[in-house]
Amino acid sequence: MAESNAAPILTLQNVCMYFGGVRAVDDLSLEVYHNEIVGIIGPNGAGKTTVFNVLSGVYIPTSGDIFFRGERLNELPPHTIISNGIARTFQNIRLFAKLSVLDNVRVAFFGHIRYSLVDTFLNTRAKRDEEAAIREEALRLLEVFGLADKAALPAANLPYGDQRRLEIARALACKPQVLLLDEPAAGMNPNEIDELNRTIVRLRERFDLTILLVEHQMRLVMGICERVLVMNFGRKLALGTPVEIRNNPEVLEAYLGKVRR
Amino acid sequence: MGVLLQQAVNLLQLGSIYALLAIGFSMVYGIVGLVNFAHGDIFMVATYLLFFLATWLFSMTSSSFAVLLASTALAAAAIGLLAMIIERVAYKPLRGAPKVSLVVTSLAVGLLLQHLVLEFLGPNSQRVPRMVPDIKFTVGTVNFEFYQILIILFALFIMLLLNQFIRRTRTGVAMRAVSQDATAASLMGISKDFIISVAFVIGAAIATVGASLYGMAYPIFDPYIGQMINWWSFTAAVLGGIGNIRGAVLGGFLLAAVMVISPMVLPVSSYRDIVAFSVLILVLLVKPSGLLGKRSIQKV
Repeated sequence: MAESNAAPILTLQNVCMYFGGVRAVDDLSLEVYHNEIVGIIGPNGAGKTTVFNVLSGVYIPTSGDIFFRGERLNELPPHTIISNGIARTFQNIRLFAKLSVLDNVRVAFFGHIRYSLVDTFLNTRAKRDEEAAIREEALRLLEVFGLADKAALPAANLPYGDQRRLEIARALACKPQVLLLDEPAAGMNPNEIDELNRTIVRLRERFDLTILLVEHQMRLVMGICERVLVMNFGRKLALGTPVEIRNNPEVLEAYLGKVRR
Repeated sequence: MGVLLQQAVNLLQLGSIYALLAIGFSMVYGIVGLVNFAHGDIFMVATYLLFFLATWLFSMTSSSFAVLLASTALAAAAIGLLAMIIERVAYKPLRGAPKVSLVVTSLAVGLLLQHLVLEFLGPNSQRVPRMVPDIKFTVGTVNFEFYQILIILFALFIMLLLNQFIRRTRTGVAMRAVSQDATAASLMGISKDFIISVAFVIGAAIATVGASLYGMAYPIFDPYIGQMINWWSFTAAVLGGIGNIRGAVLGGFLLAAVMVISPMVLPVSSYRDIVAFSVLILVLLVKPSGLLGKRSIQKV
């Protein structure tokens, strides 16, 4: 890990995302290092999800630059960014509800297939072998999340917690180096959150991931993040370790302050 | 009884053709959200191409069955390519523009195709050369023709093939993913542009097969046939639930049922078009998203 810490894997330089007069993200700079878990917190409407949308190519930033492993990815289409190695989940679950659990994961391998259209038509050995390998890999991913026995069900039939887990499995099938988790703990109880904590840390080791997560659940953020970025009105309010953030008077005022009676 | 069976064969024949036409309409809508009113005129161009190919191939071989297969395959490939080019040139730059702009563009594309054909090939009716042997069968009191059976079987084959493609192949699964949530799909590494091209190519290729089969039953054509075809495929697709491929097939057969049955019970046979569109309005009043369609509300 020591040598890869030298250069950041992901860099945001003065990124702005304006919608008309609304400054959803305003002059945000951030460097994320290999294998880190960075949390992004902030009041509702602070621009957290917009950061993810800009990073994954849903929006093209109004100004500023995003570098991933030294390459600028501002104007790349989403599917190119994904196959370069940034995958994400969604705040409101966006599975392909009518596809089976297995197909939801299989489809995410799309950016990585090597066989050609000709192979598809001729059903060549190369195609069949790769398909079999993808199927196996997808099943293994489902196993990690305890979903293997539900592979044939339509995704819509899964209980809520399983749907959240399937979203993460699907994102991992894109073979990312950086994983963006948008409120992975939404709607979970403290026990489930503790389990999710362990899962995320385990995933980081197993898949050598760098993780960014947007979250409201302090239990998760303070538990596993090495650094926390606090946003307010699209701007960076503070950046530091969980302990620093917890003791930052500005943060307490703008964010936690609202919670106090 | 005999009459009913006779009409059942007619219904299956007509329904098969409508279904093939509606599939392309519905598929493009499901992927891009575009009501592609150029579909009918693409069908018309396909008919002309089939006509020229068949005439040309007959100068080389006398095997009418070989001519049928070869001309259909060649035309399907060429028309698929044409649809892909149309999408790239006319529709792709409008991505993100209001849906209405796209619909208007598709109308313009349809008219352009129609007037190109009018200008260069003339307004006269032509006749598709006969490519199937003229054989009649009689079972009991029911008479039907070889081409009717061929239409039904060929259409069934294409539909099963499409079903396999959509269920089994990766591209097919990716298409379903895009039609359910295009943004999420592109964020899972699926190239939306590629999938859109595939939808246009497949839709147009299947319409070409439809044109080939249509020509067996109704061999007379002119540059204006696209318009009526457009309305029939639109009606079938919307009846079944536009965007849903099974719905398109169901809508195709339902429309055929209306077209076959209403002349039997109504005093004037030309009332059938009135009935058909009334059924469309009625179905939409009761179920605005079509028979198999689903209302989808999405939060971004």
